[in-house]
Amino acid sequence: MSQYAVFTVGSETFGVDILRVVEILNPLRIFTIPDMPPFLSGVINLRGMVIPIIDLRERFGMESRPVRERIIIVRVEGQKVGLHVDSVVDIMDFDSGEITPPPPIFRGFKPEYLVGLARKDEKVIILLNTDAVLTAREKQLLMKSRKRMEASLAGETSGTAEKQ
Amino acid sequence: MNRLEMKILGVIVLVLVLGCVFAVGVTVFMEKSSLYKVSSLRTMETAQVIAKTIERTMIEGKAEVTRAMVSDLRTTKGIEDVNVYNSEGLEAFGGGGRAIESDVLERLKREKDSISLVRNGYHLIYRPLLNRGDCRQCHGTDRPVLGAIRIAVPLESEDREVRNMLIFSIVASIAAILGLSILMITALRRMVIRPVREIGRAAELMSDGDLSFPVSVRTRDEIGALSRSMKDSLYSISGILIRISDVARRISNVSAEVESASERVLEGTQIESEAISNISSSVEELNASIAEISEGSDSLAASVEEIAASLEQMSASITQIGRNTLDLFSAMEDTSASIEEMSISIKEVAEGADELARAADETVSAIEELDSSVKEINRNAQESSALSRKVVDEAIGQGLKSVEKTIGGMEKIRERVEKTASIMRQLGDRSEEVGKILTVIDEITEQTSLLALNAAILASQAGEHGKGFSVVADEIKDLADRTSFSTQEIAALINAVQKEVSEAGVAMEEGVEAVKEGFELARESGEALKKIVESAEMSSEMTAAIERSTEHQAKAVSLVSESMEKIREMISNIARSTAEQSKGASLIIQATERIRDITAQVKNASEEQSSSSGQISEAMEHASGKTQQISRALREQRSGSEHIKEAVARIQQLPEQNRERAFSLNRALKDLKDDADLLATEMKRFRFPERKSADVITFGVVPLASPAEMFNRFRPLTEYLATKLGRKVELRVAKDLNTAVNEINEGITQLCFLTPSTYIKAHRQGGTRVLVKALRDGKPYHHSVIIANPDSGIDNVEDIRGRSFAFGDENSTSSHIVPRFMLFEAGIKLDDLSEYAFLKRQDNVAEAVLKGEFDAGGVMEATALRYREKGIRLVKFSDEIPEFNICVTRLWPDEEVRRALDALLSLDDSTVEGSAIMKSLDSHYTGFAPADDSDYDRIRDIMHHLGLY
Repeated sequence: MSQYAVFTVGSETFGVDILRVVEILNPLRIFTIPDMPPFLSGVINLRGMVIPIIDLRERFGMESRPVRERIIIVRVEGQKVGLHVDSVVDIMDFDSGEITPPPPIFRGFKPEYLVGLARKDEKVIILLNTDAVLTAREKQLLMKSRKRMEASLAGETSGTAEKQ
Repeated sequence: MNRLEMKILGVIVLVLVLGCVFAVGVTVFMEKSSLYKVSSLRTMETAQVIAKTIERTMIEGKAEVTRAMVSDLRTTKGIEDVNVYNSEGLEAFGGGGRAIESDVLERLKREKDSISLVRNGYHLIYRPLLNRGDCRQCHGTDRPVLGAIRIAVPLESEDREVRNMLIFSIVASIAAILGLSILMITALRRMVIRPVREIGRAAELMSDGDLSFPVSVRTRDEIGALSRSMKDSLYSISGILIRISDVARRISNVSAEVESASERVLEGTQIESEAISNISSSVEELNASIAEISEGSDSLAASVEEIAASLEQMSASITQIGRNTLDLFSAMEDTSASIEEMSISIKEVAEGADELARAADETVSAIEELDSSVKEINRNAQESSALSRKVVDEAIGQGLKSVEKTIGGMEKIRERVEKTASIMRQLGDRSEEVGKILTVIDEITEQTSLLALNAAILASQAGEHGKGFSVVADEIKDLADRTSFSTQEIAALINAVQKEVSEAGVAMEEGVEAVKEGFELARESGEALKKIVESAEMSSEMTAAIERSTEHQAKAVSLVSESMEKIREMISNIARSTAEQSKGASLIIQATERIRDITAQVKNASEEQSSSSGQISEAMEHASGKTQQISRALREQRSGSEHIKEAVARIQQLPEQNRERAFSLNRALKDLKDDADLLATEMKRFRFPERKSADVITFGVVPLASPAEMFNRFRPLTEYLATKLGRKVELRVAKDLNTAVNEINEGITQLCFLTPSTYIKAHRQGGTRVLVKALRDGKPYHHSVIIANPDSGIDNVEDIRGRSFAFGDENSTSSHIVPRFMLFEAGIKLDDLSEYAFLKRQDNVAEAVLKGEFDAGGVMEATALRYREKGIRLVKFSDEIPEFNICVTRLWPDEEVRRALDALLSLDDSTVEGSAIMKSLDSHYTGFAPADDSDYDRIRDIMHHLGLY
């Protein structure tokens, strides 16, 4: 039995392993910084920590249906990355019997994005492989630009912190 | 063996004989000369040997040997004689006397060479013995020629050989001539004579009128071409002749008809002539009686004149009496006139008094009427015054009071409503506040939920240790969820309340508005009431004023009335006195009138007498005038009847002339008929070819118009087909539709332009196939139209019942079958028509209907439209009828059919040429479309319905 934080993006429902989750946040102000890698929608300042944000709706090319927008902070290979989602549903327990391995292609998602599919109450939940959300090159780019981000954000936050 | 063959054979044999003779002659001559040459050479060699031998023996001095050798040679076979001569020309050995011919010796001495001669069947060789070398030792040098050797060789064997050869050559030549002649004559017979003879025979048959031309020459040479072109031209000629034959027959028929008609004309003129002579005699009778009457009237006129003269005398004496009486009368008249004048003036006075009295009476009655009406007005005014007072009282008393009450009530309602509205507004504000509080609760709940979620995550990550914490976190989350749910419910409730409050607010405001309006209305009605009261008061015042003034008037009227009464009395007095005066005047008048009457009677009597005698005189003059007029009229009549007589006499000559003309016409017609009959019988002598040559296509056409017109219309298409198919195409306009059907079924025509119904007939009877249908303005169908005379009063098809109707050809689709079906659909059968006829051609139908010979008719659309401009009425158009088509006979091979189809389908009006061809057929035709038998199913159905199929 394993626990998953379940959230929705567009018309799809996703799950991410709870052990990967650091925190779930109400949306904070998202900053854009110069020379940001294109796959990022921006960065947030969480208690003085710079965290890059990936908008999953853009990532998966889906139409946004915001209910109660949230940012889920997850760990990706030791780094914290924020996923911008439409809503968080709940923490759910799945038996191993409820999880099936991913088919070669499912609703247009590449198989490497998927850990498996969980079925509960006639509903299919796509279990997301957080490690695969970013490609190796993207991870490298992220590492490289992290320092610059911190530097530029240090200036920004001092001006914007009061507004938040 | 005919003469042509003999001639050709003679020429051939002559040429061969001459050739052979020449050849044999040359050969024999050559052979002979070559044989002679060979013998001459041989003899020459012999002479050489002898010469050499003589030289040697002479040098050795052994002349004996020479002599012996010569005599030996003489006995040798093949040599007739050998002689040796000395220089004097005498035989050297043998001492004989025979000498050499002196001319030969001279030649030998001159030429110093051998001479070869042929004489008397012998070959003579002379060889000179020359003086040279060793010979000069004995003979000296003065003589160049010492003698000669003569050898005679018989030419018997050579001549025999030549003779044999000649005989052989002649025999061989004769054999060759015979063989070649036979060969040549056979070949000639095959190639020339037989075809020529066949053509000749055919020509002989032609002279007998048989144009079938039974010649089977198939070669491609000049004779073949001659035969073919003759055949073709005969087909053309026979086509023309057939048409001529038809025409001749028709002329014969027509002239027979005309002849009988002209005989009838002759009879007619006879009758006419008789009638005219009858008229003539009666005119003469008339004339005679007129003359009699004329004489009578003349004597009448004379006696009338006599009477008139005596009457005139009487009249004069009467006039004298009259004049005397008149003088008396005029004196009397003067007296009477003065009396009358007096009487008139008295009467005038009386009349004036009467009129005055009448006027006074009228015035009095008028015044009385005036009085009564014044009183009436007074009464009315009083009533009106009372009424308006009442109105004022009521309006002030009740109306105003109730209006004021209404206004007060309205005011109260408004206050209440406004109070309610303000309460409602307060309620709305409160619920908004509650809403704000709820939002805060919602935010807190959400935050709590999020915290619980994070707590759950942390607990989960802590594993077993976090389990208790996890339970708490779950409960907190549940609590938060529930709170969230109930806040949402409350929010919904508050929203509903707010919505209702705002709706109530709107309703309240509407209420307030309505109250305001009501209030306004009440005030307006109050004002209106006030105005009513004012005007009522005003009218009351005015009636009072009227009342007052009428009273014054009444008084004035009674004063007038009294004074009028007095005037009346005065007038009566005047009247009475004038009446008495008048009576006296009347008595005088009566006396004078009596006197006047008496004179008048006298005057009248004499006047009457005078006038009656005048009247008689006038009447007599009148009578005299009348009789003169009658007499004149009779004279005129007489001359008129003379004229008539002359005219009748002239007319009488006319029938004679007509008769003569008719006779001559009749004669001419008879001649014409005879000629036509002769032509027809002549034509019968011709036997026409029964089957067409495969090279000629005959294109049949149904006679939609006159044959000449059809011919002109179809000629361009025919020429087009001829070029396209590379064949001769002949146009044949059929006599009628049935003929067209028969001809295509029998293969007399290969292609035929048919109407839809004739196609159906041809298809059924002979399997004729439809190839294309024409396109009319781009569409492969047309309509049939029922037409009517504009004065017939026919507006729709039903009106045709009991009227006369014209059809075209009995086989025509558009002018019989379809119109008849249209009648059938309107419930009209042929029996329901007063009269009907088949007039063959479409134009005939239209013309007959236009002239009123028939009330209505059926024609194709094109004809109907053409005649619409001339005033014909178009009653009804039919359903679509497939256009006219071009068919092919069943007997035609598929390859030909396909080519014809291609040629026809490639025709359209996009090119100048194509357009000209199509427009020539019909000004509306634009091309052809492929047709199928099923296109004609509808027409077949109709024909079936009418029992025509």
